[in-house]
Amino acid sequence: MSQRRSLHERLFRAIVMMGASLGASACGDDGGNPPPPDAGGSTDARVADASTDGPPLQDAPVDGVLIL
Amino acid sequence: MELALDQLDRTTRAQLAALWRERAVSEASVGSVFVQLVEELVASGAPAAIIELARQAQRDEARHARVCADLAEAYGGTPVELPPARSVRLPDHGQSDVRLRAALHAINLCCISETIASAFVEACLGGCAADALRELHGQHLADEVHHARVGWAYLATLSPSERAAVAPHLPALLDVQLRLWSERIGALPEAGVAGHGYPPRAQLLEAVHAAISELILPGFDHVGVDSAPARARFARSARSAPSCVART
Repeated sequence: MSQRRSLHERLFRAIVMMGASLGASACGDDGGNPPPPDAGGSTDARVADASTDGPPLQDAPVDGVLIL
Repeated sequence: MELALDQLDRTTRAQLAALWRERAVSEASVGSVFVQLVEELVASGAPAAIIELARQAQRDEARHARVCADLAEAYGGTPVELPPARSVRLPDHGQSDVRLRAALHAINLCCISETIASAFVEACLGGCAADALRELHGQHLADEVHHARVGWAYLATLSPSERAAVAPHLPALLDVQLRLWSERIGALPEAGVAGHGYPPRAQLLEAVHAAISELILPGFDHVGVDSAPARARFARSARSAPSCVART
């Protein structure tokens, strides 16, 4: 169970947190759609900056053997 | 491609060939859904980086179809001819608002289906013995992770009112996807095919349920979309699920 939980924690970081971080960054870079206002507290997509034990969220590609 | 075919009897090889042919057909259709998503994202004024992610996903699906066809040929021993890819469209949910329509498509295709697919492929990867098969599944997993990110990235660009507007749709979207995935897995061999990327059916069903409870529902919370109604609906679904599926 703990191994499976670790695997899903990694998938959560790789999929959800990195995805959300990409979206927040893309808003800032693109200038087309500004980040939503009043996105405070735990709903702020920039909470993806929370520390992880992996590389920077915006830049790290997903390795083809992520799970190993 | 070395797949340790000599360990398989003829029936099992034919079964695997048929499964991969079916997946090739499915993958070819998914490409058209990403075409639709790209159109929706462009119309909604989504950031260029997110649109490009979706375009790459469309290209990836075409490659996935070829890989699946190659595996079908390897297992079957004969060339595989695929029918012309079906053009599939996601429902519009009666949405006239272009941004909400794009968001619902992104949720349906990426946040839910591709996130489930990531967990599914991860489970299949664990059931691969041959290096060639592990490499293929590893690449497939990496692609599915990128595809799923498209949805979460787009949700992160929504305003609070837009996030509130999509939340009521989550239970129904999740219901449909859970049913589709359960039906798809229900058609797979119950005992799986050991070493060839098809774990037992119960393990795959558990992977789907775990993806929903541990990735998708917390994911909606993470990006500020209220998951409470979807959680309640999923909890009811899980209670009525087969006993082989882990309860939430």
